[in-house]
Amino acid sequence: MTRQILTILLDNDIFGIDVRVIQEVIKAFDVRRIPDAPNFIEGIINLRGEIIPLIKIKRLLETDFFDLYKNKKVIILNFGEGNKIGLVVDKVLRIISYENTEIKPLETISVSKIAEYIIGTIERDKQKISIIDIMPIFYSSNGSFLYKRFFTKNNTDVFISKNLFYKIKEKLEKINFPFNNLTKEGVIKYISKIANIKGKSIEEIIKDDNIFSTSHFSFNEERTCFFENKPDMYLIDEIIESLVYEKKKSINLWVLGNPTGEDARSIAIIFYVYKSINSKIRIINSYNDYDKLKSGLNKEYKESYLKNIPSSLIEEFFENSTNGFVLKKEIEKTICFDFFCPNPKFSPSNIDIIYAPNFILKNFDKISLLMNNFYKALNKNGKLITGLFENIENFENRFKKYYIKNRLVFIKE
Amino acid sequence: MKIIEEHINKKQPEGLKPDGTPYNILIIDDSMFIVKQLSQILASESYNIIDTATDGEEGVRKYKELYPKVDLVTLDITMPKKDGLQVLKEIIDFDKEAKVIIISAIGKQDFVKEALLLGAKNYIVKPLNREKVLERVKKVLI
Amino acid sequence: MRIDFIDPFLDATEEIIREILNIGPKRGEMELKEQESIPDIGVFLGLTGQASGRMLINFDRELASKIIEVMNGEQHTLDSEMGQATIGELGNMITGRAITKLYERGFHFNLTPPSVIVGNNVKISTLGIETLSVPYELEYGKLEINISIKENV
Repeated sequence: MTRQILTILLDNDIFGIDVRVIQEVIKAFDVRRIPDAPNFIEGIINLRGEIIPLIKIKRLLETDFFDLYKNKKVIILNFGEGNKIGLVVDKVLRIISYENTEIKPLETISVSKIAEYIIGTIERDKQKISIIDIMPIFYSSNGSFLYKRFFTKNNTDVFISKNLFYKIKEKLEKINFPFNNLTKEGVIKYISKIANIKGKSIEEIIKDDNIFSTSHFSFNEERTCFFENKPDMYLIDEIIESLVYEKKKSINLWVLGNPTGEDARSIAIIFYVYKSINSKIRIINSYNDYDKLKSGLNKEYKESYLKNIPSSLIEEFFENSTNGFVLKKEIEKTICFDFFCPNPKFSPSNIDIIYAPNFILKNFDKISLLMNNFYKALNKNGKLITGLFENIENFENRFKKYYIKNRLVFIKE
Repeated sequence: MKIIEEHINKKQPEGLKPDGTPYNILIIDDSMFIVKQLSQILASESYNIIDTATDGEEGVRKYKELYPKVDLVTLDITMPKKDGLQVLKEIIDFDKEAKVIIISAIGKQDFVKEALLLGAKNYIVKPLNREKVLERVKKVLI
Repeated sequence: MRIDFIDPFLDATEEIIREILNIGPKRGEMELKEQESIPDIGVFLGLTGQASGRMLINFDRELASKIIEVMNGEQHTLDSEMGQATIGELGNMITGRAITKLYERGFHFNLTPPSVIVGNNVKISTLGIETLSVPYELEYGKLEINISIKENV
């Protein structure tokens, strides 16, 4: 039987969606953001009077690569009965016809989430196209339309018994992660959230060594790749996007905690992708170890560092050098390496976003000096993004706490 | 005879002209230390330090007063009151044949170029090294 | 403070000290300060051009005396004119070398003539301009370079 699919590009791969559910293809416009919605929801749009939610399919399916395509297209899916969804994709290619008999099953067992929804693959012009089974993504087995459940908020308040508290403390101390007033609340919330998602109890989660060996629990100032902490990078992307749309003339970021500059460079790439806009960006990459900071200057990267970037985009951001890749000059020049240590007086000024993962933990003995530096540095409405577990509420009441896409952020009002 | 050989082989101090009189050098530098160091180096080869000046204005004035006795001027760029390059200009304007060597802690290419374009004969970057100083001075005076 | 500003001053200090005393100084921990203390003698030079500021180098008595002795071939006290001129010249050379290095990186700076301060624990403040303080130690004594730079935007 002949079928027709619309082929689309997601990062490096081509997928096909059955045309029968496709109503039209449009460019995203006037997207209304929804605070506290799950991170795979882009927002909602008003299409000729109909409110349609936009879903970032890559985020939903947890793909490997950081989302670096801008100017994306939206495919409006119409499932009938008034159930519509906009699917945000990188590129829309063309309509292809194929025969059922052409479909080949997936060759290897893939651990990626998207593999669950692939019917099989066909080949066209020597390219492999994976055919997506779109229905189970949005419909449950009993036929109910699932997207409504995406909007329910998770309860973030958790009660922990003293016993459990000490068990968590013990576990963290074993892996040399500081469990103190700064990290306590953040860790508990995180563990509860994981327990919630996995449908397990907190005791069971504490016993799971896999969870505690992730990079979240590593104190490391080094990175193994660009966009290593994807959730943080997505958060920064959101904030930069809103600043760009506010038509801010200049956007200044202060990045602390990663002397060799991978975080700063990842952010520089994020900004670079917003082409042809009038904002100018400046990123100050600070650290309090001079030699480590210096080693980050003009750093050359091996290919393994680029694993979170779709291969077709590497040449847009990087140039070849003797020992690997370097960031293109026009992107690199937005970054300035700066020696900084918490002190009574001096900090950068006019900063819109401070990204300091675990820098506060590392400088805990000087926390009040540092909070002062941060407060003075930020503009009004400037945002302080601390490490996932760093909750500065007990040490600082001049910042207001906000949740942006379920992530705790501090804002100078 | 040996005495005659020794007399012939004895090296003539670099600071003496062919007629046996010493070259006269004017040192313009605000650092007492540099004045002393330069004087020691040059005097060791019998150059005559005819005078010194600790700022640019004094330097220009003394050059004019002593004219035409000064064979070579050493000039520091970083001085109070008048900038070294300005002093260089005034000396060259006064005497087109003036031989000036710039002595400076700064080795910037554009400084060196500008000094040479303005008429300096050579440029020495500090710290001072006996061989370097003597070599450059000799080069300029020949 | 920008690394590209700091590097030239550190390199210049380490090079010149090594050239004069034949041993390399050992660098201690850097700090951002507003106030410095001159233990016995200090030399400072102004910086102009692309950024304004100044460089202040402090020495303790022992190291200053050693430097004066080596540079002059004889001893002079810290209070003597020659002693101070020597320290002034050292400051001039270090800053001059740093400016040359900055120039090679594309930064245009210039320096003013040096001033020498002799005292006992004199305190100096840069009143709001960021100062980076870098201590060094040698077998002869201690020195500290303090770089204050404010970029002229």
